[in-house]
Amino acid sequence: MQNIINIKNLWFKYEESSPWVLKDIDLTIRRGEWVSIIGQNGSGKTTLVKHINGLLKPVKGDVLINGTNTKKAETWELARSVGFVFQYPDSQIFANTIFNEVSFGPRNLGFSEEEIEQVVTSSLNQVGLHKNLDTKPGSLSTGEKRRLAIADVLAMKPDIIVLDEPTTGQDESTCENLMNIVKELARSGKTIITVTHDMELTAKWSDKVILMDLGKIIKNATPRDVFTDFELLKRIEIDPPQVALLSSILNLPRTPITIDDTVELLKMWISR
Amino acid sequence: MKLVGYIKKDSMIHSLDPRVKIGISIAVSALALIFNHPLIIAILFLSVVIMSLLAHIQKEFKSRMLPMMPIAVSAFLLWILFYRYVNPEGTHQIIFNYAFIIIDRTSILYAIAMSLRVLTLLSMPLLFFATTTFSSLSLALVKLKVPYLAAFIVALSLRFMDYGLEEMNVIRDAQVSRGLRLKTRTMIERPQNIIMLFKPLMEKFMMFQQYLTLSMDLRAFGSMSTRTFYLELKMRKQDCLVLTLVFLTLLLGIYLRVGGLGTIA
Repeated sequence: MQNIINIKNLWFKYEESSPWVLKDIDLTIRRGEWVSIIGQNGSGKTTLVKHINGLLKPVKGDVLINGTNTKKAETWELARSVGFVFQYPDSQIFANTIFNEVSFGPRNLGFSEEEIEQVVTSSLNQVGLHKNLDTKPGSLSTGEKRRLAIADVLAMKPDIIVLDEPTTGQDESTCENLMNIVKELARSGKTIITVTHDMELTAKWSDKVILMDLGKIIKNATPRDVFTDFELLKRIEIDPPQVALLSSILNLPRTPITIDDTVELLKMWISR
Repeated sequence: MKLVGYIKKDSMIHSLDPRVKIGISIAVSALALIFNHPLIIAILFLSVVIMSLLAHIQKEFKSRMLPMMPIAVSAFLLWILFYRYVNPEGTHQIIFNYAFIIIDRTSILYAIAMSLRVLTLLSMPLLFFATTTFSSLSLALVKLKVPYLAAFIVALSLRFMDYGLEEMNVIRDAQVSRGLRLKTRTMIERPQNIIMLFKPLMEKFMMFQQYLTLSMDLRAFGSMSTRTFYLELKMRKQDCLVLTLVFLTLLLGIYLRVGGLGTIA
């Protein structure tokens, strides 16, 4: 698969006098991958992803998106390639109807009226938000607002979608729904980057996990490799998924990291 | 970046009674307003910078002052260009003359004085808020016979100024990420941008206000006409000394100004 994001020797701090927030980050993400970035609060996760759509520019090093150096492009230009869904959808929703809300991005990017109608409808369908286009966004539930925020981003047809804490404050079935939508997007070839504290979600859905601590990437591997490295996780005070933790306490020969893994393992043992 | 937030340090400025700091702020601001000679206003600004050094907050003070620089530069440019038109009388030693732009010695001095005045008037409150907690500010206002509700509202508004700025930044980032071009929009499109930024901000503030009212009601705010305070302010010897010095300096300044000193000739 082709590399879509290339980060080379990225160093960043917010102010000249403040300490480094990101230290010598080297990272490559391939097209169509679902990558989760995990770590403690203040480890630099959100700061890192804000470099991907140019909201922040490197102090040292380079960030290349589809070959474009973010230092040479404005955030609105990068919006064609990178869609960013913020943690709280209320930060971006402003329009009086769903149609106006979702069409805001494509309109900024110069889509024709015909294209706008088409992308608004298809984006809302993709997130399963079958509402009247004249519905007021304020009347939607939190889960629906989050889906609307994803539709906002999808309407701009980006190759990369960044989701900052997508499951915050939502019940399990809403989260599951949302993740199924994101999985479909990944299947359709979009590159997905999630910033999260939800280890169950990370273990279940991601292709790759990036573990950050104090502004550095300390592990970049598959969910299994990350969530079975108990020593490292303990050192940086990250709890692995509960099934993995249970298996480590019971000292099982194989460590499941998701419920599906556990079910499979149990079935295998029972059949023996 | 915080603009008015308290910076916790152990310093003599921090330990001063907030009423003394209110006195210093009023005196420095009043002197900066009554004098218009650049040298005197430069001394006043320098005194604020020295106080920031004594408070060990020079780094934070510098970073908070940097966003103020465009205002000072604008003041300088405005006065250097228009002083002659505002004050056509008096002697003018012309230094530069092209089309409507006439720059003379007095306008340069006045422009320097005005930009320094802007910096002094902006830096003094920044220093005050960086060295005074909001709770001690409201307590000081109560001691100065300001009704508690008014003192509480003042402290609360200042405390949430930084919250508003942070929220504004998040909203701006969210809209720019959706292709909004804030810098290059025309005058007709600018009001639309303001709606896109302010509508979510207003909604957040409304929600915040609801939570705040609820939490205050739950803690029986306003149920008693009198109240006691966890912290008590007491003027120490050094507070009285500093306040006396500040008062005398202010009186001296007024006396000199009434006597015709401290202005551009």
